[in-house]
Amino acid sequence: MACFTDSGHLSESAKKLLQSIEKDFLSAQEISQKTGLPLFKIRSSLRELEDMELVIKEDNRYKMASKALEYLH
Amino acid sequence: MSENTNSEVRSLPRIGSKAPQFEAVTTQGTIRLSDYEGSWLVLFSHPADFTPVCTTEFIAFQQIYPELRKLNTELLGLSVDSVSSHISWIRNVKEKFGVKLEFPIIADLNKDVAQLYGMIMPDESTTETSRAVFVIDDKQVIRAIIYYPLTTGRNMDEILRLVKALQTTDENGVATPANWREGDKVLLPTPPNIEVAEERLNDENLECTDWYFCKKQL
Repeated sequence: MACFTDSGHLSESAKKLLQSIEKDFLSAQEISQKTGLPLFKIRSSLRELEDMELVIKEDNRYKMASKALEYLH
Repeated sequence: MSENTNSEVRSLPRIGSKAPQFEAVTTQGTIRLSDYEGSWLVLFSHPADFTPVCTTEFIAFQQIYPELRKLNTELLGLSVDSVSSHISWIRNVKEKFGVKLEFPIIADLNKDVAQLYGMIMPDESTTETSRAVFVIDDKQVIRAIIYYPLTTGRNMDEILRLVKALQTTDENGVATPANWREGDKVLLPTPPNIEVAEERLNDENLECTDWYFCKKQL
């Protein structure tokens, strides 16, 4: 659970990732470029966030799910 | 016992073959090898956390990490220790040596990845991984393998030089001579036929000592 802290809050890197796809669908590579986080970290986190239904995946592009808002703000 | 243990040892993945896929728990979450597709990766093992040679190596790996990242290359460590042990060691290195280790480390407690990559040398130790380095390219092909024993720390300049040399080869279709450094002349691969061999000897842009030995400046 690298995307969450012990207290159940999003980690800083997960927040940064979600904020980058709050409005648009982006590929993992585009998210990596936008956030400055390494690509492997983005892919690993997206998998976890997708399992938690916090991101929506369409044609290998990702967008934040509305459910993530409660964790983000 | 050693006979049984030895019979279970898998062979090393070979240079030029696809890197064996894995999913592993690391200090930065669950990572799959496929997460690195599109970037190069230096996957390396060390014998154990909280040991002196490994500590010097991890500090040295961290020192070359920014340079590796400029080469689109990531670092991924591994040992047969738990995530808690890795975290504790990372914190200790920060506290005692002032170095923050920023790359993930696999907690390979059940030795899944270590056995997949032949990182354990049972005649040296059955519980610790030796000092293995696998350079994996952006297409997940193993491009180079380095092995050092438990007692001897690796040379980071050589790892950096190796990645640069491999990438230079890919980008320019050339080979690199002994002790090659970035900026040095490179070698042309052996000519495939006599026509090419003769062409090279007449090429003013090449520095040919003989038909099989031509250098050029990139």
